[in-house]
Amino acid sequence: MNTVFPIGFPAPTALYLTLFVTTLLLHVVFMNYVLAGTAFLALAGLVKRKPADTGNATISSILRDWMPFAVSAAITMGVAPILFVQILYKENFYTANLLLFHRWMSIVPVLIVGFYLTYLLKSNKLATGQFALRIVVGFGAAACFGFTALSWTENHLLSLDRAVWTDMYAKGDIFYRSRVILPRLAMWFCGAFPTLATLVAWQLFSTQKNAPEPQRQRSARHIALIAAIGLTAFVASAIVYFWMMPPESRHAAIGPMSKPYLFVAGCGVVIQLAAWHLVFHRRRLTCVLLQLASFGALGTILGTLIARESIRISAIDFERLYSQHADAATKGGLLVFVAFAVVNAAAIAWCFRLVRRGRVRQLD
Amino acid sequence: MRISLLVLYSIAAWFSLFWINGILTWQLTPGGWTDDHRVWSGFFNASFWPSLVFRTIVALTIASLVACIVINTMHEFSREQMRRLQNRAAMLLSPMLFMPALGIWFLWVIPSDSRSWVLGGSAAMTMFMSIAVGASMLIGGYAVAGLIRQRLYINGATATLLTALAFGATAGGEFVREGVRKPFTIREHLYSNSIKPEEVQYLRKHGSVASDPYPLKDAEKYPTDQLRLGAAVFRFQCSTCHTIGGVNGLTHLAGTWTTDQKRMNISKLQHTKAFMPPFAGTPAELEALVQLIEWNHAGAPADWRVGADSKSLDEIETWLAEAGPNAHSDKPMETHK
Repeated sequence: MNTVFPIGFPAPTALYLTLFVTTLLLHVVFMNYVLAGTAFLALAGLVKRKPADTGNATISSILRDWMPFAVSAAITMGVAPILFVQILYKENFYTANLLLFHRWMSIVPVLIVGFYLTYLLKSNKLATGQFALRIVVGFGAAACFGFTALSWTENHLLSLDRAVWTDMYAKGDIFYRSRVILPRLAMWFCGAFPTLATLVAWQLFSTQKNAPEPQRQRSARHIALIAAIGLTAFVASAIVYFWMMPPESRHAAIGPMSKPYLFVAGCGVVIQLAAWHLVFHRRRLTCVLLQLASFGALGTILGTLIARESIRISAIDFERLYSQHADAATKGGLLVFVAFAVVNAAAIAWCFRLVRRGRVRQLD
Repeated sequence: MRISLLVLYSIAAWFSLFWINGILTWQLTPGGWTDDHRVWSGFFNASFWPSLVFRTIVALTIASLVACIVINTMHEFSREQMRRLQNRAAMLLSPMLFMPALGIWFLWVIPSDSRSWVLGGSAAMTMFMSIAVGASMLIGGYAVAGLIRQRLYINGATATLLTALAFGATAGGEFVREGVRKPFTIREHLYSNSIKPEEVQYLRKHGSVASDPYPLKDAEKYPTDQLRLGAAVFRFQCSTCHTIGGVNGLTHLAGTWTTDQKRMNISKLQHTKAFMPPFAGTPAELEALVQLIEWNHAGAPADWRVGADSKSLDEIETWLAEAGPNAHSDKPMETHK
């Protein structure tokens, strides 16, 4: 395909690709918050406890408070893309799922355990209690979500590697081995930190208005540091991943379908770095800088997602599926999907408004 | 604010029920979807409404009983306050009175063969249905007589027991709901082993595993190629619901049949058991499956004969033709809209 994503595909295919990427982007935002947030909390648990107004303690406190909600949001936001991916890729997706069925059987309890561990992380008893218990709970939660991330990475790469399917089945392998699993996982994991930083920065911005200036400055510098380290690690691991992937995947990643989006992703990284640089030096979170960081983060995620789809589309016989996409589009239901998407968005906005009004009343 | 959020949350949760109920009921009574394959023709099918209302009442029931447990853990309330709260929560149990009518409505609209299994045709389904009905009656009776009319206090242990009963009833009902779909996953469209009715003739002619790219995991354990073929046929056609020698195992179900009995019963599978799909393979594949069952029943010895001569294969072919390619229940659906 020599056109920019999703142009050049038949209309139904383009529609499903667009819906898939859009809904996946929403999932990735919350997924990043959970993945990076639980890792941050686990590491923060190792550090000797400091007074509550230090930057890290403030960030940890916000993360502990919001993590169960973020897990729920990440899971519910994952429903729509998982439906669209089935319409789009069918056999490749299903086969990888069947070959790794034991993983999916284990992911459900693992996610449940992870979810409840995030509630435990919220408890004051744990925060002030035994160091060992805090470490177990913190690293336990991070391990649960890390395992889920690893499983999805394996599943995705296996779905593209048709050549190993029968052999893997015959041998009864429960792991898919590929040299790109770890660099790819590292890229997504490191990329989760700038998103986390952006979201937490907005939370700090809206909740710390009345906090003492030194505390706000420390938080701003810490969050900028997290974002900058995350971005640097993301770029480094993306380069390693790109270098290690098979030549045809490399060609697809920088091919005409995703080239403009890679440019957007690159610009996103630069914009984010600039915004966080200013935050770090000014020791202040401003609305403009946070908006810049947010746009940059969205651009980077979008570009990465489309490069990901370009690699996938080039690796499978995608044209063979066009007729099935067209068939799916004739079944009806799109209007209801759009209507409910609008209703849900309105309901979410209303919830925000309601909670915001409640908070204001509480503060008054 | 909390109440507003809770109301919104419960509406959203109910809509989750709404959509999933549409999908589940469509699988049993696809209605107009069978002809036009449109989403809404299948979604608002004959069993959609009774099932939706029934499930809503089940949700209210479980919510009410769990509330009674939670109230017992709130030690800041006096016993009288707890009782009043419980009686208020128990009002959510009153719609249970409509359950019998909804159950009858559901049974009325499902295909007649599915209905017959619940009403005595299948011992397991009738038993689970009876458990679900019995448990629901116990909960409903206690709710109406004790909690709503006499306004009794219900302690934590009793509330937990009633909740467990409610979950038991729900599990029984779900077992029946899954069971009555047999032999289909989607009525008239897809058998429970993922073979489509229109594929049966083709597979009988060309073989069901001839183009299966996946090798057997344990090919070396079978002493003959015929048994390996039987194992591949088992994997493709039977393993969705059966094991060889474990739960719902073929060896337990058919191991004691004579060889000819196996050949005929499997050839005419949809007539042997009305909730089984038709066999969808060649006579040689069927014979291989028969040999696999016999070999397993004999304790999987190291040596095994090659079964069936051409006469037996001809007989199998005749039986397959007599049975026809359709499921026993493949006929215009009886739905009462």
